[in-house]
Amino acid sequence: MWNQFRTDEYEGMLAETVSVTGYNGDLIHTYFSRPLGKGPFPGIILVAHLPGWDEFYRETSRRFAQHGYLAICPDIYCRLGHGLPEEIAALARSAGGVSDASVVGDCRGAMKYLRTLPYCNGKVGIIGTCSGGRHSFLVACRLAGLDAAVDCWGGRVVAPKEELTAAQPIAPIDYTKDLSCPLLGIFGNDDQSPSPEQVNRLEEEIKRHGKSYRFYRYDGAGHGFWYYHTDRYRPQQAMDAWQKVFQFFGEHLKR
Amino acid sequence: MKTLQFLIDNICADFTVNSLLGLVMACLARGPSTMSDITQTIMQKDRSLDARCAEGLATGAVQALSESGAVNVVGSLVYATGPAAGPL
Repeated sequence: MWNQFRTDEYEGMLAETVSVTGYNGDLIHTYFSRPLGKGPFPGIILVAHLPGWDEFYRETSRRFAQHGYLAICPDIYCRLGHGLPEEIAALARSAGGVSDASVVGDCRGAMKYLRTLPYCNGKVGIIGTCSGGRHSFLVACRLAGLDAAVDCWGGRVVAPKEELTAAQPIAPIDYTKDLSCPLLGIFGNDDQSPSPEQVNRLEEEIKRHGKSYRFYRYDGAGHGFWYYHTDRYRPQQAMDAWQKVFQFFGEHLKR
Repeated sequence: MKTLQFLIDNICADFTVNSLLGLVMACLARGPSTMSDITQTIMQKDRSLDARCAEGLATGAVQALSESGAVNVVGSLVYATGPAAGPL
């Protein structure tokens, strides 16, 4: 939880780029942050949003490490090349986004990597925002072995047929029956992707399949309300949602 | 405006509706612009956007501004309305 540490407590962290084997056996970069010490620590996979494998995700990874998690953020855009995050994001957009299959494969690689670490407690969660929120939900449905998932305002989880593509051939909501771990959803009521109606639709489907979940919907917040580097930032709602995330991961990954 | 908000949210562009409309109006304050000019302005502001995404935002923004009477579209050019803003 925020600001809940003793001032005489030892604290240390390591953050670095680590290569792991991802989808199709490809070697991909990840940004890996971990607390120093023997642990054991739970792991969290962070799935970057479409603005790219960027500084926000590096800082967010370190935030999780600060709170006692092994945080790994795979570069799901790695196959498009390298450059500034925004340059690669533009390439990804131009290509219609990365394929769902490659994201699931990259997250599988990240999960396997975490579980090989001697200081991992064996539990692994996943979180993503925006398109990463969509991916987080998708991966939690397609990949067995995760212990908790957080979908932060993932757009197009509920998607009409005309929005489906070869790279993203099935709306993630259609995989709900396969959701393999508890889910936390964080949404802004002013968001239009996902709209409040789409969030309700997803909740109905999750209920229908009897899955474990908690959804929080915030008034006065729209898409991306954690993004403190943009005009979208809503500090009160963001900090409350962060508390919910730490509480959720604490319950499912640390116990 | 809801449509424009959807366009922004759907691609997670680094804009609010107001900041996008403000950017387009600032572009038009320099003189009449084509949709291509506006698209380029949007891409320069959020460099994570590709041309297709930026064009969608440009179209949505001009449509919203046109409906509010802030701009006129004449042929291939977009004019800000108001004194010395255009030929209409």
